[in-house]
Amino acid sequence: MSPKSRLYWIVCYGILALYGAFTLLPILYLAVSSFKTQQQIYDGIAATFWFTPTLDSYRFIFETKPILQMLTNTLIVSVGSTVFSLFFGTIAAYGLARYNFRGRDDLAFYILSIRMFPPIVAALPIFMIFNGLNLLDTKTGLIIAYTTFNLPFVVWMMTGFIKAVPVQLEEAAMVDGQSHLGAIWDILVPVLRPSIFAVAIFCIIFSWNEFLFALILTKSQAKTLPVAIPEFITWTEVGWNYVAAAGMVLVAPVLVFSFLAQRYMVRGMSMGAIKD
Amino acid sequence: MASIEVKNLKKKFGEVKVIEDFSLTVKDREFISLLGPSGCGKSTILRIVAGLEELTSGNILIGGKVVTPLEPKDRDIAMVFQNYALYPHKTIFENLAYGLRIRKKSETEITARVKEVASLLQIEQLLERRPAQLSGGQQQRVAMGRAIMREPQAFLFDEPLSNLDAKLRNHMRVEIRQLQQRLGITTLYVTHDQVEAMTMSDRIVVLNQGDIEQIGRPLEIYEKPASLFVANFIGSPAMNLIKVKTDAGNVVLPSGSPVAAGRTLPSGEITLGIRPERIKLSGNKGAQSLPYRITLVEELGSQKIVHGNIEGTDLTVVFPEDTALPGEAAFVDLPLNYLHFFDARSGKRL
Ligand SMILES: Nc1ncnc2c1ncn2[C@@H]1O[C@H](COP(=O)(O)OP(=O)(O)OP(=O)(O)O)[C@@H](O)[C@H]1O
Ligand SMILES: [Mg+2]
Repeated sequence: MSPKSRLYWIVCYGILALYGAFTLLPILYLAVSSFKTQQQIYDGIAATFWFTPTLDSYRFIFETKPILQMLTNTLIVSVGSTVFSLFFGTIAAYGLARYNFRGRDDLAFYILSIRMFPPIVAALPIFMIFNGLNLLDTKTGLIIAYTTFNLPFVVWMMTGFIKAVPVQLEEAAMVDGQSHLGAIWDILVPVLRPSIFAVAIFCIIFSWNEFLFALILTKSQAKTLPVAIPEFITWTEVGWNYVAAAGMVLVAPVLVFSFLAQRYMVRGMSMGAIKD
Repeated sequence: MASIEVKNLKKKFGEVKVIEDFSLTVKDREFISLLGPSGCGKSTILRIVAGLEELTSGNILIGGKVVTPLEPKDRDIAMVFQNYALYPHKTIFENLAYGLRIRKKSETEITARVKEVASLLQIEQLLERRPAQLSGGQQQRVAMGRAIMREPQAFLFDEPLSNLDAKLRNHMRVEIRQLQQRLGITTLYVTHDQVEAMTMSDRIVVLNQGDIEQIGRPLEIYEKPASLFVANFIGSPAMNLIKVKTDAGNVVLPSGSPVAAGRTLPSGEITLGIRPERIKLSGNKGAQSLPYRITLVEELGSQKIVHGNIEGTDLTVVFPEDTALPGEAAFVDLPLNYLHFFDARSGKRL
């Protein structure tokens, strides 16, 4: 293979730089804006990165709204729905991956199709059901709602991952003296760990960022942070700096987390390369 | 150590019958191969014996005990898979130790046994590695090691050598057989490779679409194939099979030439079989000789495989390497005691 020409690398890195700017600039702009006063936001282009930073916006949002409580809600709901989705989703995926039964492929597609459903269509019936069950404005309610949307994703992804692991691994463990469940726990789950981890991250991020259901199903007790952010835009003022600060509070944990976890995510998503 | 008995096994996958009525006894310390073409049900039988697949009806006994309703873990057998199925996240040591760990053996006992098995299979230097860091041959050894760790009642093998290259395969063939004889473990071995079955087994079961065509010692099966299927399946190059008619103590080739049968045969359509290595090819015409036209010669180094025909009827002959081939005027003799006759319709030996 001939060494790649200089031009090749320039083009490559050029495209990557453009893409990086495209995805990262908005976050940078958000971060910068969160340290400005309302006035500074409207200063000219030149002042975008030249200003005296202040923490006033942060102080303001933490004083006027229960940001910490909402952040905790967001965390509990995200983790809760992720745990439920992974548990039930992986079990369902095992059935779809390992057993051949009538209507299996139709069932698999039906499960996936729930994910294709526009959430807004489901929102009204869910609201009415939750109303009847007294689940409105509860974290349990939100966890259930998010689980219905995370579950199909988990089932679909995990089915693929489980199929890629030779069934003989479990069979070997069973012949070695392990029960079926024991073989799954001892052998399959550790082999799948990177994939489970990667799928979990996607579930957490979906729930973390979710807006529509949180808006419709919560009022105060169970309210999550994404819903609170637009509330800084009111009839009397458009507090872009507050929006930016609250946005930063929401995004920062995800950024840090993704950065730390990216190695596992890539590994988990490219699994299935078990030598057989 | 124990016998394996399979009694009137029937297996259906949904509506598809895979095994009709299969019975077999593997005696204590015996090595039996299940030999047959792809899809004939070999793996299915083995998996049913292991308890990994449910049977539709019938019974499995191991060591005289009915194990049909038992889970694999309670059958005290070991199995080696075609893809080895080593646990990818465990070291070789832990792969070997797993069965004993489940049985809650002490650490010292486990370490001692792993060392013992590892040295038996010469894999001591691999114990700290993971399966992905081993070559195919090494993985195969570890899979063998895992099977003998617990000193099970019986070994089950499902084409354990088919992922190895030819040279390693020959080597492991000998090694598995020696190990099995040394340990004296009853073995059921699935293969579609006739050489493996011939060289390793005490007895061979030839399967065709879930039915037993023949059970016998390797040479028995080679010398007295019970059916056309077995005759065709065993031996390389394959037995010559010629459709002939009978006529008063003779069989008549398609060209009209008679060949002495040496015995009385039922009249009608039958198939004459003769192994290529049993045919005498020479330049001299004897009393029973037939004219032979050579069309192609394959040189194997140790022997020549000669392709040709008797008056239009194809016939393959194996010819020793150290003798010169006859030229244009060649003749073949078909020795009487090496002729096989089969009913052309049922395929059964006559
Ligand atoms: N789980 C299953 N569901 C449906 N049919 C099956 C299943 N497993 C096997 N079969 C069918 O049963 C028959 C026997 O399969 P089996 O795997 O026992 O063959 P085999 O002799 O081991 O072949 P090979 O040499 O290719 O491994 C095949 O026709 C196969 O298609
Ligand atoms: Mg098979």
